[in-house]
Amino acid sequence: MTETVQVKVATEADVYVAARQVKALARQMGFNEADQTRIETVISELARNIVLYAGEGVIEVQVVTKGKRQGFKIQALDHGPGIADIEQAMKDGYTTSGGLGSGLGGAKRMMDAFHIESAPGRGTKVTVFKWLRGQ
Amino acid sequence: MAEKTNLDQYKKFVKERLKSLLDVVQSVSAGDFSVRLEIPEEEDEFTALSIELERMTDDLIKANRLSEERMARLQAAVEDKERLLKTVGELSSPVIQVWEDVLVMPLVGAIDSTRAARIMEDLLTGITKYQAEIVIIDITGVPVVDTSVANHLVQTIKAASLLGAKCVVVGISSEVAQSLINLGVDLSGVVTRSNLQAGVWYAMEMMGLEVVPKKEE
Repeated sequence: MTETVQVKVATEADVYVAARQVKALARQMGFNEADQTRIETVISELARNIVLYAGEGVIEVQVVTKGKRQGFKIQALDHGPGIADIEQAMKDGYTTSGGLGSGLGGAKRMMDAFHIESAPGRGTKVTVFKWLRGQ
Repeated sequence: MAEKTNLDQYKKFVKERLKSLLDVVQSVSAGDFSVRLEIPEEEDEFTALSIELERMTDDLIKANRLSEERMARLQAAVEDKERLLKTVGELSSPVIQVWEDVLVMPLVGAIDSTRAARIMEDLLTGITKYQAEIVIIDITGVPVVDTSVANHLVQTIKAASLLGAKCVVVGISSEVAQSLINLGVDLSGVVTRSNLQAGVWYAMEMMGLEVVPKKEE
């Protein structure tokens, strides 16, 4: 399987295309059903944030190995307005789009590692890792 | 003196030939191919130019026809696609009356904001049309339920309750349930049942009905 997959996101339809595509990759990699759904949901959240706040961006999925572990490194990149208060954006119930719950907080809970870099006017880069279980 | 006359005649001749060429070039460049050149009998550079010009015009006509055909095909394809989208849109949110006052709305596929609006509209229309009291929304076929989809769902349920209909959401898979918890989505105000059957039972109960085995005569 290819090492890196990039999906451009600019419309709502792209959000689903990205989520579906990455879910298929996750299945190929051997992630179990629950993790496939987690990955799909996180991609959906991150991609939707890109469309909502930045207009366009990229979802990048990379197969990574750490010791004996294999997994996904997923990045969501955009050159949008950025996030002024990251701490607040991560809080549950925080939303500027009228949605429910917290997409970013959820992404952090559903993945094994979560990192966000953002500053006003400098875009946003969200990096998450999900490792295959039972290895 | 004779030379002068010859020169004048020649000038006049050149002017006329150029004028006839110019007329054609102007109309062709304006997109009108109906004006055709008359190929003169003299064999001179003007005639050669006329012949070349005619060939160019023919090529242009051909290219024009080709692009018109392509446009027509493209137009047809776009119309096809629009028809298809309309059909898909109509199919995507059916409202089925399963019992007096009870509706079922099975949702299949991804829900974006356009579809969400359509779903709400169709459901509200259905509630009014059938005077429904209970609506069972089956989301078994919805692949991803993220914060946005959950939000659309909750809005739809709220709108339905304004019309006096109570919604039951069924078909939340264990994976989706876990995701919703992780996303911090609060569905505590929403009635949920595991599957369509349980949803129907709930509806029956709410309507004060029960299903009993047929009595042996």
